[in-house]
Amino acid sequence: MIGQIHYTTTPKYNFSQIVEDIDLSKKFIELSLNTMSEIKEKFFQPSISLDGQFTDRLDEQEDTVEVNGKSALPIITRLEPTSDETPIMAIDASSIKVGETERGVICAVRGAVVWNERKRYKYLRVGPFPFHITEESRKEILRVLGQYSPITFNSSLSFLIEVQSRLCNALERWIQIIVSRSISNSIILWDGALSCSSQNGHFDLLPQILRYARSNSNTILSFSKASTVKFLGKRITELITKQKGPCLLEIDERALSISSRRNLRLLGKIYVAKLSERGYAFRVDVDKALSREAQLLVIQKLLGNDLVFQGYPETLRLAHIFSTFTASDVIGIQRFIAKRYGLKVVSLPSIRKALFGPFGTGFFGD
Amino acid sequence: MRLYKKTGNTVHIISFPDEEVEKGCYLVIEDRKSGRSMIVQVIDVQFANVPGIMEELLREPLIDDPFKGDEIDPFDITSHILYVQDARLLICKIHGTIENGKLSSNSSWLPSRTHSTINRLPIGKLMEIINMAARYPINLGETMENTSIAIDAFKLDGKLNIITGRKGAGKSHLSKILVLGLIKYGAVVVIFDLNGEYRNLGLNLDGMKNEFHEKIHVLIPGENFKVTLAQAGLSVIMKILVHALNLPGTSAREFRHIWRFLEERNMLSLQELGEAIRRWQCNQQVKDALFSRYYTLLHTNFFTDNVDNAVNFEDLLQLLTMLHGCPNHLLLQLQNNKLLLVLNQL
Repeated sequence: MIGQIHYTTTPKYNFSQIVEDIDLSKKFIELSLNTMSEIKEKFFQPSISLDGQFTDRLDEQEDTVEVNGKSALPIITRLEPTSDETPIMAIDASSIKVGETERGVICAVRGAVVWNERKRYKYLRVGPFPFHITEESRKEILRVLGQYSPITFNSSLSFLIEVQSRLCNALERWIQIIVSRSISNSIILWDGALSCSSQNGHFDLLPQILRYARSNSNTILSFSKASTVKFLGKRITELITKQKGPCLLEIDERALSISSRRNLRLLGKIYVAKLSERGYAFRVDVDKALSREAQLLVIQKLLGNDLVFQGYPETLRLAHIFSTFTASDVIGIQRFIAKRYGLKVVSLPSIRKALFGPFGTGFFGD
Repeated sequence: MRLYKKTGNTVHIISFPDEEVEKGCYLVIEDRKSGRSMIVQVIDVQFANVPGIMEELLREPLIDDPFKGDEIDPFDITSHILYVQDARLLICKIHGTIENGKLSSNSSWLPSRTHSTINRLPIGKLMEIINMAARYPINLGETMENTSIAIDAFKLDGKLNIITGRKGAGKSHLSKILVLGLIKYGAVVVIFDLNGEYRNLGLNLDGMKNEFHEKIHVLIPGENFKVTLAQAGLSVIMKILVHALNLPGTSAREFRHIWRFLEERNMLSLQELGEAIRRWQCNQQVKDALFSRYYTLLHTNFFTDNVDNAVNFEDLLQLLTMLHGCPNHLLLQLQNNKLLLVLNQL
């Protein structure tokens, strides 16, 4: 099955060679094949719920980080775009549940890299990879994913959702490694926060990726769409919403107090960036190992070399769009599963609808 | 192909890209459990309403779009996604049902969505089903499946056959094929050729005479096709005057009196008619109205006082039969639009 892998190369960035060099690629595909080949059921119930992929993944859900207002007031810096044709690349990954079997769920993960080359956006999509997650297969999945970082399973959450999230995260980290090692002198945009905990399995991996990036003179910027960092009880992103023009709010790390159950480790300097006058403000983490001047410069370079739509970098927006699943993607994946594994698609009756008819309209609290 | 829904006399079928179905194809929906099959014809092909297709189209790169990308898709799932996105919706008209080997026009039953199989119905097979084996075949040409198709000339006889279709669909072409086919078997065909498009049926594309040339006789009104007033009769002339030439009621009544006056005296001719109108004691306006219509009839050159120049259909057909041994194809080319209209109504 591995022999079927066909990699296409992009004109400028030769990711594919590195893809083959990375052990995870084969393991990831083998893992997908192994979990899927263990489907013993004859039927599966399809599912198309696109909303799930738009909620933040478990890894991105931070514990509460408070900025101690008494220690230091945040500093607001004006941003001037610096246009020097620094390449901008963005990475994102998504996962979605595509169906259920008697023993678990079938999900799919997909990643995307988008970059701007000679004023033209280009992309590389990786996946989708289907996985059958069951109580039995989760151990194998976590074992494979844990080979390059130990994972402690969070028993308080549904293991199916958590494993799906872990798979998505693993694919995203894998792509981040590849990109960090294969390009140079670029700005790499990530989705989420530059933080890791002992429980999310990247305690060592994330610093390693940052080192890869630095060694190739790349800078990683991480954008969080929803941040829990608060200052005097307010979200920090609300602090600069009324500011005119592009600006940056700098959070002094010494003023942070982290209330974490998971031994949270911040690897980036936290900023709140408002990149356009009418746009939203986002939390932006910049590699902490860089000097303050370098951190400011890289945000100004981003502003000067990428389009900004509603305060969000266009390259990262496209990466998100290319990685997320549409309904037709899900139907296509379901068709693949049904055909490849001989499963018959069935729609099991809804107990809720059977009992309550039109009166039990769906929410769990009904 | 999967049965999607049925509305009235139409069924909607979902078809995938690898299924070669196009507009005009016949399909058979076989419901084995009920032992019935429905025969339908594809009348339109639409895009299936695949969920999420709008998002997909908006984000997918177009050929001339600035986006360009590569896919690392080891399981080739993208081909399945594209397969789904290219699904089509076939709008099909129900033509009939086969039950116990017999064809009926029943379209009221509902085939099972889950147990039905849908396949293309070859035209040859369809012709067998509808029992189109021809004793007197008229070859109509080839189907889209490259098989010849013929209908039975015998089955056209004694029935009102109507050819319908959109502009450019080939109605005239089909009717010409039928005409030639019928002539071949010795049938009498009378054509009212409004646009003069049938007059060259006896010639090949290169202008050379073909096997039908001697059997086709073109009658052109005003030239070799004229009638006397007596042949036409009062009823026909009155219809021409009232419906085609808009003669008012009072004037029409006066015309009827004039006609009967001439008829009683055995003086019914174009010349006497003109003279009678001139001398008739009536309102000047009525007289003017009658004169204007009289001259219109005169200028068509379709009416004559010379009995030898007038054409009698029955005599003509008899003559042609004597000459050629079989009835012929008679073509009336009509040129005066108003006259044509009336003749059609007749």
